[in-house]
Amino acid sequence: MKSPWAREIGAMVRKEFRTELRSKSASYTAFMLSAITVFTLAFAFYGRELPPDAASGMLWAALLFAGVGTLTRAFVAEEEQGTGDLLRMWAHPHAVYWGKALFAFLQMSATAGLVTLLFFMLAGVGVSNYAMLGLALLGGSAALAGMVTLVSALVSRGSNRGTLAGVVALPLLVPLVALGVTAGRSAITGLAQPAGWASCGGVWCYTLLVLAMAPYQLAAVWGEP
Amino acid sequence: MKWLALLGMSALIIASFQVPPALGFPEPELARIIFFHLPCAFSTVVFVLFAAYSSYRYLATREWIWEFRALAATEISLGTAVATMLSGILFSKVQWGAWWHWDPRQTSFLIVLILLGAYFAVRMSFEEEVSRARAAAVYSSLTLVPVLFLFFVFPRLPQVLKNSLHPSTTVQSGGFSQDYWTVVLGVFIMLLGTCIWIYKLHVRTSLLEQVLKDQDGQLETSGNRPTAYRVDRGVSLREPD
Repeated sequence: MKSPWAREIGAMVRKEFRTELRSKSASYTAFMLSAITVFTLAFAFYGRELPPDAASGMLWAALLFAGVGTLTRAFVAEEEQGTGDLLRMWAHPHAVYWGKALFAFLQMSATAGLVTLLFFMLAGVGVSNYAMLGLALLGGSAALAGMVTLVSALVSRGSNRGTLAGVVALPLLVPLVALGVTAGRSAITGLAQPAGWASCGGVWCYTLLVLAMAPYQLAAVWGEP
Repeated sequence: MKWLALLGMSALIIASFQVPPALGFPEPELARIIFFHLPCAFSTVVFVLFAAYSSYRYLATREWIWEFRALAATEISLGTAVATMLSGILFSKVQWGAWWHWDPRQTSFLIVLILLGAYFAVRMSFEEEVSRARAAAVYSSLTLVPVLFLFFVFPRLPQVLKNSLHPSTTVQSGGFSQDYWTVVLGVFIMLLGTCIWIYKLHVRTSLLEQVLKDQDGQLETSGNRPTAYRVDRGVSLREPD
């Protein structure tokens, strides 16, 4: 941490950690939301075998709801608590974005790991290609964190923030989910491996695009009072 | 000019019923829906991309004209997207037997429609003009990634193409005669011209509204002072006797 920019990001991540440690509400809610989705989906197949083709879609649905349901609080909470202006004065918008997105990524990765374990335990489905599934989930968590953090900034000063965040974020994440589901399906069933790897690459391309665009978009929508 | 456009459109409608039925469809006569469906889809692509570009320009320059252009382009693209969807649903019913098939292209267009709808949800959530313009511009430029994916990548993925009922393969493999393409292109040019005309009217209306708002603001003030100064008086609060 030599440059002030890196120091600002580090301080943002620390701030997010401390805030989260005080209440633990976001992590707890994210996990509970995902777990409930997984339980509900598993219950839908009670007494029947879950088709491996459908497993990937269900896993991504659970992760999507967990991400959109909890990560949208990132900037909304700042505006509600009145700390948004302080952040604007104290740090560069890019640093604020990277700090919040990094924390969201760590939180989302942990949630994705736990939910995936829980999902495969309950669904009773095996995985053929762990590397492909892991890479797709890691890239997906990064893209979810990056996009939802930006959406949170976008809606933070609007009305009906909770509903609006879902309306805005879900369609923007459709390409990611489509690619993730295809990669996950190949990883679980072991079929169409080249298409699976191509989709996995697509997930990472989407992630890079989001992370390249988002800091500039955040500066435009949130950086000015 | 408007009369010429009306004549041109009438001629194209007549021509659309004169060309021989397209082969390779279960109901060749009813495949003529494509004459209106495809141009609407092409126009949607043009205006969605232009809206994203205008939004980017607004963010870069903060000139209101780009915000008005983005809004007008998005409204027109929403209209053409709805027309595409409705004509597509009709086509689906007469050719494939059901109103909705979860065909990849149908589905991807539905998601584009949702993205366009969400743009207006964003606009409605902000009362203050500058915040509204900023949020809408950011959202519109953000939609560029999914829109490009949904229009150009997703329907062409091999695993998707394999399961698609859409006649894009018929089109690409030369299932359309040259006459068919001439009418499609003609309708597209006419529709695009009409949309550009509506777009220009929309932008001009927005500019006039802006001028009116500015003049209204000046009428309420004396000199260069804002209105608030005229009602700003010292107030003393005294306990009643």
